[in-house]
Amino acid sequence: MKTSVTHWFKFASPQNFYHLAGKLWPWFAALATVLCAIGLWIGFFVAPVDAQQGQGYRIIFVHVPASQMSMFIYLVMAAWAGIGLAFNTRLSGMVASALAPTGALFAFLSLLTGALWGKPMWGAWWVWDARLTSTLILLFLYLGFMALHASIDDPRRADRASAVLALVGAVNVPIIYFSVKWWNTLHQGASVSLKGSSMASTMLTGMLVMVVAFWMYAIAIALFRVRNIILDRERHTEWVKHAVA
Amino acid sequence: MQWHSWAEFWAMGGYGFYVWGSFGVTALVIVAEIWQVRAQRRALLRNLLNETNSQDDIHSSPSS
Repeated sequence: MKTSVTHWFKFASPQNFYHLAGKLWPWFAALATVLCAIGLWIGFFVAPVDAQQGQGYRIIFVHVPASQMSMFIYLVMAAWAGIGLAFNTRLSGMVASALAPTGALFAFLSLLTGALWGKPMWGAWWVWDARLTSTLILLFLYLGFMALHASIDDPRRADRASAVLALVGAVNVPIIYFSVKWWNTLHQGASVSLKGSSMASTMLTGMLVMVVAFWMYAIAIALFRVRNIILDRERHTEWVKHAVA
Repeated sequence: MQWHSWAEFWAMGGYGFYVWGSFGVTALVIVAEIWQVRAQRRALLRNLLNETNSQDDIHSSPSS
């Protein structure tokens, strides 16, 4: 037992993180479930109808969290990829790879729910507006990251190549975020800022609860997926054989 | 409570298709993602067990 301690000196070892993630993900999944139930209840049964957008505004309870997560997951993914590039840590690339599919799904949901909102409100599923276009580029960046990673057989080289793509693409995230300020876009500006909110308080509460629920979901699913990636990449090690036996 | 009847709730003031479309596809995507990572884990564990078992067979097989 004492000799095995030496394998644990690095907190960032995939073996250590595999077990840590296994302990953590059920808690995040449980929080996501509870918060989602509360958020949907507030969103559908407590929050009042919107004066301008009628009941159609309720799409924001899924659109805003999905959009925020699609941007934030990208930054987290790029940060992990950058750490892997700088310090050559194996786990970093695995975490970045675990985040990409979830980020891509949120970017897709952001675009889809946006289109379902845009059709009745603007009269168009899609416009080449700065915010919509930059979000579409975000989806392509996620897909490009995953495709590039999958196209290189050696996982460590794949990590490095896709890390460069992730870091370069990170410039797109502030463009999305500030697009409604920098350009005269059709997409409305932020309803919530540090100065306050232009929404009814129950609407805001419901939206924030849903944002936190999506956070918890993203963390839970990324932890689960990173365990898959660790198992796959470390399958020839002794500890994996012991872990699955 | 914002609604007088279930019919009113499902109609969403005429935005039913858009609202339920948004929430429905989101729910589907999340369920599909959960299913995918679980299936991936099951497949990985199956392969890993097969690999270790087949290696054990080689080691334990009588050489005579």
